[in-house]
This record gives sequence, C-alpha cells and structure tokens, in this order.
Amino acid sequence: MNRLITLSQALNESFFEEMERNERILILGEDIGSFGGRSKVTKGLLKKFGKERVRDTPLNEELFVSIAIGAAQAGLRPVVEFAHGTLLTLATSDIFRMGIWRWICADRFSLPIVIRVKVGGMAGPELATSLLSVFINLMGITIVAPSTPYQAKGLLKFSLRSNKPIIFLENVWLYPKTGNVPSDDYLYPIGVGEFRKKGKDVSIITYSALNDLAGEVAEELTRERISVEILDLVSLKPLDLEKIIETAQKTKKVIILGDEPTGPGGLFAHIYIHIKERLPDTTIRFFGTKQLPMLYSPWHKYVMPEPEELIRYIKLISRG
Amino acid sequence: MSPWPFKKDGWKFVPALKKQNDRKLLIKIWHNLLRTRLFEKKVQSLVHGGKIKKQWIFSGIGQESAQVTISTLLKNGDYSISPSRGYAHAISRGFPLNYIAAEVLGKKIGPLRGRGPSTSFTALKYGIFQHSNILGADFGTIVGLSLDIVRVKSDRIAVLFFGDGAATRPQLWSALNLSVLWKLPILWVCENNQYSLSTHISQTTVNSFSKTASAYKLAVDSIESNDATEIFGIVGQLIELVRKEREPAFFEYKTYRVGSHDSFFMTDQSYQDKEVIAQWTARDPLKLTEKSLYTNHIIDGETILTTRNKFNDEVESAFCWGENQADLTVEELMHEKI
Repeated sequence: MNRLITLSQALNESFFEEMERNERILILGEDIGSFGGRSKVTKGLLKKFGKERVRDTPLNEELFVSIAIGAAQAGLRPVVEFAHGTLLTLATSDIFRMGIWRWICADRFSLPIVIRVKVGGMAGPELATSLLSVFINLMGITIVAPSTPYQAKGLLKFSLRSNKPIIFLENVWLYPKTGNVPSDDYLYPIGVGEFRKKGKDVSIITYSALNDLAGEVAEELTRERISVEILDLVSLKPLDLEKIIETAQKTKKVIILGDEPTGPGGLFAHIYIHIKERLPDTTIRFFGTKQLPMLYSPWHKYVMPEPEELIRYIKLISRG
Repeated sequence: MSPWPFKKDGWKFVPALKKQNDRKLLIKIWHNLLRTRLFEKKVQSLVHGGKIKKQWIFSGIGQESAQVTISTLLKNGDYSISPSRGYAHAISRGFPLNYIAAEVLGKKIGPLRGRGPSTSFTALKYGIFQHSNILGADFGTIVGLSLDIVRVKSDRIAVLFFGDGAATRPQLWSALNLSVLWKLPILWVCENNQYSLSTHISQTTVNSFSKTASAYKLAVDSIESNDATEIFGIVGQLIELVRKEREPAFFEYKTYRVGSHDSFFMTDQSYQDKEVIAQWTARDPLKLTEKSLYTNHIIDGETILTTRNKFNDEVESAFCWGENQADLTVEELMHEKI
C-alpha cells in the first residue's frame, strides 16, 4: 500500500525501521535528540532508542567523522549529521581518511558509516554553497543524493545496511515535498539512477532538488514540441553509467544540470569524460550556478541556474 | 614554578612494590620493557644495515616506561590506539613478535600488508587499533571506540596514547570534553617526549597538558620519570579508576626523545642539546627499572642476565621466522582497489 508522505517523514521511517532491525546503529549530531532534528528527520528516535544510540553533540564537526571511524572499527554502524554542507570542511581530513582507512588498516574491518549532510537552502554563502566537487574527488567514498521520498527512504535503508562509508546529501528544499512511499519494506540500491521523464530530443542529467527545475523546463518545452528526457542520477559516486550512456545514445544532446559553478574537477567533468569516451559525437553542455557563493534566500535564485536560459539553449540545439 | 608533578586534589599516591601481586606485575612490566628494547635495537641494526624495505620507522627507545606499564596492565577486551612509536604498546599487549618482525621485514604475512605505518597496526583480537598519521585524528577515534564499550555493562576501558605534538591540536580538548560529558571510560595518555619533530615543548604550549586537562573536571595525574616502578603506582590507580567509576582520566608523563625523530627522513639531532641527551640517556627506562627492581630485591643479577639472554633469543628467532616468510610483491601491494 502506498502513502503520501514528506521526504523528511520518509527518512524518519527509515531510521525507526533500521534502528529497530539493527541495534548497532547509533546516530550523532547537533539538535538531533530532544529537539528531533532541525528538519524533524530524527524526531522520536531519542525517546524510542535512548541516549546511548541517539546522541546530541556540542558543535564538534571537527570530531564527527573520526568518532564515526572509531565506532565503525569497533563494529558499530554510526550515522552522523552535518547541519550544513560546508561544515564538512571542518572534517575534511577525516573524510579523506574515511575513504582509505579500511585499506590502510589491511582490511581488518569494514567501515559502515553514513554521513548525513543537509545541503542547499537559505543559509547563505558560507553555509549553503555546494562543495560537491571537493568531496567527489576523494577516494573510497560513496555519495548519494535522493530527490523523492521513495528514493530517500529506500536509499537510507540501503545505506544503513551497507558496509561502506557513505555521504548522504539531503537538500533542505526537498524535506517538505511529498511523494508515494510503500508501507512494505523495500530498498533503493546505490549506483542506480532513475528516469524521471522519458523523451527523445534532449537529455537533462541532474540530481537532488534540481530535478524540479528540470521538470519545469521540460514541461515548458513540450509546448514547443521538444521532448526532454530527465535522468535523476540519485547516486553521484558511483554514477549509473549505463543510464547515462543510454540517454546520451538516444538524444545525442546532453545537458548536465548542477548546483555548482562549471569547474574542471566536478561532476560535470566526470560525466563528460564517460560520455565522450564512448560517444564522441555527443553535444554536452553544463548548466550550473553563477561563479558566486550562494546568496541568502530569496536571492539564492539569482545564483542558481536560470530556467529561461536553459530553455533558450535547448531550443537552439534542438533545431540545429 | 614548575607544574611538575601536577596532581588532582585529594589524589593519593600509593607507593608501588607493596603487594605480592604488584611484584608479579612489575616483573611482567620489566619483561615487556626488555622485550621491546631488544626488539627495537634489532630494528635499529636492520636500519643501519640497510635491511628495511618500507622506510617508515619511529623508535620509542628511551620513553618506553609508561607505554609498557600501561599496556601491560590492560586486559583482554580493552581497546587501545598506539602512537607512531608503537612497538612497546603492541608487544606489551601480547601481540606476537614474529608478525611485527615480518612487517618490519616487508613480508606478506605482516599485520599491515605493507600499507600502514609499521609501528602501529590493527589487531582486533588484541584490542589494538592503528593510529592515524594525521596527528590529532585519533582523539575522535577513541571516543568512537568507547561508544562500543558503553553499549553494554562491562569493566572494559579504552586507552589513547598520543604525543605532546598531537596534544597541541584542538581536537584533543573537544574530545576530552565529550569523554567527561558522556562518561566514557577512556584513559588519555600524553607521552610528552618534549619534541614535535624539531620544535621543543617550550615553544608549543603555555601550560603543561595535564594542567589544561584538569580544567575539564576529570582525574588528572602526571609524572616526570622513566622508572616503570614509579609510573606503575600512578597508572595502576588511574586504570582502576577508569575501570570502576566508568569515567575518563588523563595522564601525562614527561620523558625525553633521546633518539632522532625517525630513522629515515629527519635523522639530524643538531637542535637537541647534547648534554640534555646525555642526562636523559643516564635515566634510561630499562636501566632505572632494573635498578629499582634489583634494590627492592625483586630480581637479582643472575635473573637479569638469564632473562636478557632468553629474550634476545626470542627476538632473534622472531626475525629469523620473519625472514623465512614470503616477501610482499608489488602485485600484492597494488592488488586491492579502494
């Protein structure tokens, strides 16, 4: 049976179900316990599972990941929450280490760690600017970014059962969005993208909250009789190369829509290389933010990719 | 006024060597001290003979007393993270010499498979965890390890060894704060050998670390000594406190790095005063401890001689065993994808 619930409720349900299922899962972070999380994702967990499994912390981002490494080495399944994406920089050395630590320690253990990170939002340049390019280039780390409640619940459950270190990106604009979620137990695997819309003329490859923008653009273009296909990556590292090639092969025109400025080392470059190696004739363009840090809400929209510009460009390449 | 020794209010020092049980433990500590020293001397001779493959060797010679004493007093099920000068810790926790020798010699069977830093490695069965070369990273790691310990009622504890160099990183103080807030059974052990590579402690901190730690409302003790029999009295009590009260404690011991920073890259010791090196060499941990045990009639001259010979054979046969193991090949080093 399907129910219509929000993305934050979907994540909350994953925690209740998985923490019930596995007593080795524990979560740490700021405001996650008695307050229930700034986005209510951890609401009710403290009462149900107790303070040894749901720990409110001081402002200690510099320690979060090393604590998780220690707990995971001892056989626990730690989850840590970073309240803003850029605060990951306070733990960069440990995030780097987390990716290679199992290998350095001669594979004596696995490192099941989930780092939940709230990204996007209205918190301005220092807190809300995307740093995906910084972390996507680190070895040994998985990065996922669900965009629907269905994906969010299944993917968090999958992540909590995985034996690898995972960065789980939650875009704050998506928390209140509703969607159909089955009441039965299900998983959404890592490394699998989802076609949000099928089309034949142009492909938009995107992720997280930008799916909404892609959807608006696609709808606008149907009036011009241009059929847009939208591929939601869901998993940013590893990428679903099969679906990326499938859509590129079909349309030969690919737009990668991201929430960072175009840069040589980011997601764009990773996807560009994969497509060009296999399909050298594909037209590929990146649409990202302006070369600026994110502005405070409501001005953030000036920094984000503009739908009008994207529509203009798609019209141009579809006729060419 | 010197902050040494700095003691928590009301903290009583119980002299060692009183109980019969203590005598047995002290002999065990001396054995581990001797084993470690002979092992390290062998490693040094291999370094000088150009026999080391992986060029990453940090000697703990001259500062082993507290390392050995604390590690010997730990029980099965306790967790510890050894520092970069970590032979003493692993040997004292009972890790077989053979495998450490194999790692030193670059063999496939070594506990690190050539990947980690030689002197510190992970051995889950022994509760030993590897330290991070990004000094300061272990402060959070020990907090994480102890979260496993507090899940179920037990008397297990976690011990983190770290140097005075790492102690200047701010993560120490946030982790120490958490350990008190969350009542984590962690013994924080600061091995103050007075040098962060070439920089003397006088240039890195305004307080002794134990003095700063005392502001965090936990049991703190410190000693300037290389004599294991002196250290034993203090750390024995601190370990008992952490075990029974289920709360953290902080211990700092001031010693001195008589050797160079490492055996390959920074072998120059020109920044150290030769006279000071000579003074601390005279306070050698093994010599002092043997002297104390001898004057307290716990061991005699003949025991010293026979035990030395016995452990010398043990170390030689460990390296002989290691030498006969298969070499790590380039293929094996490169085999595993991350």
